[in-house]
Amino acid sequence: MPPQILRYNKNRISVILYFVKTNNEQSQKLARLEQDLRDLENYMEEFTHFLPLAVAIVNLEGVIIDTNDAFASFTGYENPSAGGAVLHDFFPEVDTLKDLLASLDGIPGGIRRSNLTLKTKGGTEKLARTTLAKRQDTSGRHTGYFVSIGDIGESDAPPAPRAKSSKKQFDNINNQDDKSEDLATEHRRHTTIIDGIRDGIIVITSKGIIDLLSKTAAEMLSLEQEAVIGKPVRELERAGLEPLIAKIEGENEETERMELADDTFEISVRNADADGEKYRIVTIHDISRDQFLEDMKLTFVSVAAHQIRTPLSSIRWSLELLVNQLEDEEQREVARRGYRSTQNILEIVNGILNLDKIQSGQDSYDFQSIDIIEIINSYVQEVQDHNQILDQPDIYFEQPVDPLPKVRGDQDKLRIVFRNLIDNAVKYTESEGQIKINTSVHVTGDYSGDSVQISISDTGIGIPPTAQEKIFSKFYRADNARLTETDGSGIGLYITKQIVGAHDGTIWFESTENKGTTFYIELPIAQNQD
Amino acid sequence: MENTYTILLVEDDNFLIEILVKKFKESGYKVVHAGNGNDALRKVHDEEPDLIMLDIILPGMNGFEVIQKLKNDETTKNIPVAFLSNLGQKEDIEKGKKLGAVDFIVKANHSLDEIVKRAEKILTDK
Repeated sequence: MPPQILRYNKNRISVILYFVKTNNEQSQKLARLEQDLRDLENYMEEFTHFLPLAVAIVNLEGVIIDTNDAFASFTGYENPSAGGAVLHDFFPEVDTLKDLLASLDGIPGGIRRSNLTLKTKGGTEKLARTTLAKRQDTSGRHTGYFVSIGDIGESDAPPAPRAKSSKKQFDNINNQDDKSEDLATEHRRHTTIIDGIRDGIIVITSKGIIDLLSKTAAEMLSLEQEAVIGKPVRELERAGLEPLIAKIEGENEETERMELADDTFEISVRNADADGEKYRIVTIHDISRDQFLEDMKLTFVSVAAHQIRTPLSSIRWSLELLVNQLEDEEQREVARRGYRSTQNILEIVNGILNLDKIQSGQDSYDFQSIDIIEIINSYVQEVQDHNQILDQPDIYFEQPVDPLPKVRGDQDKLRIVFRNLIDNAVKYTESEGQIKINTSVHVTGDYSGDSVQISISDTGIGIPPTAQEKIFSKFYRADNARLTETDGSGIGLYITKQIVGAHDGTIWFESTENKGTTFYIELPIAQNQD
Repeated sequence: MENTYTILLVEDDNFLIEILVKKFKESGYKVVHAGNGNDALRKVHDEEPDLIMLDIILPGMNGFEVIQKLKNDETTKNIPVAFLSNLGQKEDIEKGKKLGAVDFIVKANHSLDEIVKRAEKILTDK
């Protein structure tokens, strides 16, 4: 992967990172990703520049975008990509070059090799072994070419016969020295990178020998690198790491949480194949830091919620007292509006707190056998209580004749669902209008497929056809809703849909503008009806 | 509505006390209020209330500590306690119930009428 592309991805991650500051855990992960990409970018940059092969990156028009050091020394130019140089400046056989580039499309893999004349800085021409390859972006769009050039004398020369003369032997030894030095440099680089990764890494050979144990892994598990590398996995028994050994030796590739050396880690084991040799790669992720951040976040949310709610309670209650005490109808109306706005702010605050929890998936679901009727009744009662203060549409809940089977659900989450749907019905229906709630049981014959259906109908403003498709999207609000209720966050239906989905239920609606809307929810009934 | 129930209101915000006291008195209750935990523990013995409505964030001892003291005292452990707080995380509510509270009311989410109704329900269920 050329450095540019890495750079592009890294920049993209930085941009994403900028926008997701609100979610600690995600931004944490992205920050880590960004760091990894930065490391990789630096590494690739070093790598390409250090590469003995001369390489140039060219765009579709043949303009040279980037070259490495070897390309500069091969062509004699100090900075070959400066000043908008094009490929043709280096290859005088323009037509041959064009044909070659054009023919890349028909070739599987899109690579061609050919000997072309290369013009260097001094004007001298030499034959160069040239490799051309197509550059594509991740979506397969053709974005340009890679060009590498090599000395023809070197690479096309017949393989040297086994050296007999001492001179040849001497050269070979020198070469080998170079190579092992390169290898050592390479090895050092890899070790530095692997040790720099925040997750611990262990590599095990197919014979059960510890081939690699990164510095981070050693620190996490309180091990000495020198003491275990090259030893059998069983050696870890001495450090009390039996669960880890079991995981390495087992077949299960799922990430698993375990307590090791007094900390909690997430361990995953993958099989890898390199040059026919099989390895088990173990990654160790320390989650105590995640846990710490999570705890901080919960505390923050809880404190923030408290601080916002306290003044709102005062405002809400004083307005409520005013509505009951004021005798002038005009003044009462002002107080009523204030009361309603306070309620809206509270809904938004509560909605955002819920959204944050539900979206990050940290709010786990506690499924029980739930009586839906009780949930609806209690909220309908609450709304009816408000009717004494506010002018609101009447709300009727038609109680089923036979007791409704219990559904499999999370009580708190389903409360949010009905609260959102009933609040919407109330908000978007005139005070002379009507809201009706009905329930029914849908028997499919197959016991496990039976479901309870709840419908909430209003005679309100309806959802315009153009908005119907987007109504469950996060932060989306239909234009007519915006006009009716200027306050509102556009997250209620999004959360509702998420929750219904998590219950394996379905939600849909029928709506006619200016006539009304009916929302339907279907929830699977509980296997356990006690 | 006339009754002889006494409610002990533990709350440190003066304005909220004023509103709540007014509302409960209008609804026919006798109301005693305490501004902090120690004050509350003293008044429980002096006034022998029928219901304690307890805030959590209080100066000094917090509401969770207050309820623990109340439940450990033979003379007060049978008086129903309802939390009336603006904390409302699941963890807080669960903790409150575990310590023996009969109800947990998030102030901002309810109107005064609803709060009076909840108190009424606890007292009639007693």
